[in-house]
Amino acid sequence: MGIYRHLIFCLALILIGQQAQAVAGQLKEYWGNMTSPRIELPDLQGRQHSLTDYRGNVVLVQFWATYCTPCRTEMPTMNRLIKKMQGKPFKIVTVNMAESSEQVRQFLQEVPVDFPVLMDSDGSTLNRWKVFAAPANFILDKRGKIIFTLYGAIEWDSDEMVGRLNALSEE
Amino acid sequence: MQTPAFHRSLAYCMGVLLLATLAFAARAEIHSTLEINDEIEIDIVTFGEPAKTGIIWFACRQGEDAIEFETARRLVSRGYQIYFPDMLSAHFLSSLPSNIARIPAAEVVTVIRHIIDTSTAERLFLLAGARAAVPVIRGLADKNLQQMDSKLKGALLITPRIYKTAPDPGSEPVYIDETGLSVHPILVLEGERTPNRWGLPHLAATLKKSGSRVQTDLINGVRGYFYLRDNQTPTEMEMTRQLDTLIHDNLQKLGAI
Repeated sequence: MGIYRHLIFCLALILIGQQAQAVAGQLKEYWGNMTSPRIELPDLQGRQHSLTDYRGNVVLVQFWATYCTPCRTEMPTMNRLIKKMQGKPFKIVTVNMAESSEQVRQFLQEVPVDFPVLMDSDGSTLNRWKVFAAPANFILDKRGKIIFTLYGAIEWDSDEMVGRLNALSEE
Repeated sequence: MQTPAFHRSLAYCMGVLLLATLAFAARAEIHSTLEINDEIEIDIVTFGEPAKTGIIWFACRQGEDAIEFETARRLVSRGYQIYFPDMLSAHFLSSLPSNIARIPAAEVVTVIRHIIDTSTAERLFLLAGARAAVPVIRGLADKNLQQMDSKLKGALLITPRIYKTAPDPGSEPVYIDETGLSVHPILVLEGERTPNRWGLPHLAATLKKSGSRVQTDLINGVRGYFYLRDNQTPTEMEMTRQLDTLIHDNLQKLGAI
């Protein structure tokens, strides 16, 4: 019986390991043009933001929309990620996909966020970034180069993800 | 001598009978079977009497989405004849949208050719939404179909999803291999509230590669495959109610591309 319990335990460990790999596996190494296209956009309050202002930080750039149900689900995990990464050179910048200010404001009343929401009113920025799905995520290194992409929603504050972002922020 | 009341009652009854007959005629559907080979038989449901314009409608989940058959009945009253080939049952595939993309191209082409050969319509259009656009794109890529002196006048694709894999952020979308091998006109309608709308210029450029004339348009206020969704918004419900009008208007446009 002891051997069987051991075997089941080992199998469970392998399965857990595979699951953890699957979560990490959702991040894809980016092999395209390594320099991130520019972002020069206003936030909801009209303040202008430039991606170059975030140099020296690992940056999660996310393109999202209010009609995207997974975006709604994962945004609270991004808030928690910011807390977990406090004191580290890490920032989140999100870009709304050409919706109206009213639509975005209403969404943010329901799902408050602790990171900038930039308004790409004519969709030109998301075109430059080649975004055709939501949420579309890019992870930039401290020099502003895209190193990972990720399509779809995940638990951004998982230990696995925090570990990876921590490691990047220490490079 | 019959009283005026009797005549009124008689006229009323005849009116009701006429309406019931018309309603029945509009609802009537014919089931036929096309034998592809010894193992594969494809059921085709036809709505309406022979008409000048026919529509070959590839549905994602044949029979599961009542809205497609309801819309077909409304299109019949606008003078169309509609054919629904059931591509899934022949392969014992469940009615999942992803399964429609697994149908062999040769079968799709055989079905289209059979309807072209047997229909008395002067012109035929292909119609599909979401993942069901895959068999349409595969059918249009067939060289024999392209060379036929055909009544086939083009394809109307409503929020098509013909990706080979989900689009990676930072990369151009990759479509199924047959994309861009067509010569027939194609009209693509996409929801305004979906990220796929940003891929329309790339999709149109890809579809045009072998000579298809391609036009794209947005449907305001709706998400992708809005008429198949369980969680429709009020705007999407309204647009679904008007699906026959949307199809009718855009087939007119497609005919003029």
